[in-house]
Amino acid sequence: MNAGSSTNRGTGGYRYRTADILLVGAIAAVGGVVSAYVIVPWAKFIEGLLGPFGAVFDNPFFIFWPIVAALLICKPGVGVVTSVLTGAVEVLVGSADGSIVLIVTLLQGLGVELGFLIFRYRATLPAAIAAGAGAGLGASIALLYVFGFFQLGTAVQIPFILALMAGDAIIGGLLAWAIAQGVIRTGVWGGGGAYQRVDRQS
Amino acid sequence: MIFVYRPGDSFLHRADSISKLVWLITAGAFVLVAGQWQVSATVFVAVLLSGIFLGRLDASELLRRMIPLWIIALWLFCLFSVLYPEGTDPVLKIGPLSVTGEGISYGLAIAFRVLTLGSSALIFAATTDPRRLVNELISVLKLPYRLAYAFYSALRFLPLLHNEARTILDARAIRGQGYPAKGVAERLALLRGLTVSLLAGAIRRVQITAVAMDSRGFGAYPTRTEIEDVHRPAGGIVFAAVWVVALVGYVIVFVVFGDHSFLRTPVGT
Repeated sequence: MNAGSSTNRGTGGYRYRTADILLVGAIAAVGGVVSAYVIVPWAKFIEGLLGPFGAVFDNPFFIFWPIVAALLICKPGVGVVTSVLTGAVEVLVGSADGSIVLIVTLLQGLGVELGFLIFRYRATLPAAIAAGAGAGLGASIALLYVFGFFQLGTAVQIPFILALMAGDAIIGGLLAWAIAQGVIRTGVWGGGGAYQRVDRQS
Repeated sequence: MIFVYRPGDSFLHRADSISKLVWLITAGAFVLVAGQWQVSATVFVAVLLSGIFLGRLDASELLRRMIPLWIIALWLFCLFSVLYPEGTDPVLKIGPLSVTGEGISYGLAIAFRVLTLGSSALIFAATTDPRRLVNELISVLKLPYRLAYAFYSALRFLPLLHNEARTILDARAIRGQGYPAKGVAERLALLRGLTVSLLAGAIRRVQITAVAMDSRGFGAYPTRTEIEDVHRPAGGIVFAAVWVVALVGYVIVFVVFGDHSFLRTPVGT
């Protein structure tokens, strides 16, 4: 059940090609644009109602960008770099969450990386789900600390961590998988593009 | 989507990005380390004053942009005021819930922490040219330029994708394809449709750009030349140094040799 033709690594093995670097930047930019138009308006509504606990419901829609990047590129570091870059773009375009975004995106990027590492960077559905769970774990650790929830005891902490991991794994992982599949079906990445033709000849 | 950055001639606009990055990290570390709400409140006020006076930012716009943060901060303050598990000093009783002094202190500390983390990043974004930030990350912090180029490409694609997103959404609206979306299913369909369309367009652009860059020898040498020189005014470096010294001083005087809590809660304050 591979997302791409093989592992989408191209001829460079684990070395980043120029197209990979640019794609990471493009996904971070798409993440910023889509988040602003589609996700942020109702995410803020949820957070207004539920406070920081609203992250359980809206976080899956923020974490799938690095998973999409890792599914398309399949190289170590892509998850964490895309996640941090998406956070940096969010801050530069004026996200009200500020530095919290940078802390959360770093930890959830490491979680995505861990998920793909377990599956040896193969673009599979289980890897996407594991990466989602890892992102949820990273985000929950960051939020527990930043919002001071570690004082509320395990009765609040453990359900919060498990809910974020489950939501990010199921919604975030499946959404990332569906989007990566949609992109691959368009034929622009993973074989048919001009860059791949030049890359194979080199 | 538009960058928050607006060109200006204030102290913070002239200061180099790395010094402001150090300031951003130090202000964040301050409120993450400090347990006492008074410390977090002082840092928050100092950050706001830096933005208003040193960055010449419009105070009303800054506070308006922080509305989601105010809501979260208020939420956290109320939550910890009544749910703080180690509270022993009841101030007010609301049915079965009692508001404790310790809970109020902890709630205030966390609320000011959230406000500081948000406002400092807003001020950083409003006074920092993203291109200058990337240039200085490469030349001052020695970030590999191939990696930094991912940041450049994000900045470059952002306005293009912004226009493309508007076109796609307008086209969907004309055809009645769920924009503006109603309900969960329509929102998910819109999210997937918009993302796949934008990513497919972006990938086409990426491939053409990558061929052009490779043919011009991008990444062939360990360093690359820059059009813009990097200037680091002394004022910016001093500004960052003052914050770092204040943080280190606070930790040594009040945490190591004093009675302030470190990475813990302000119980009993």
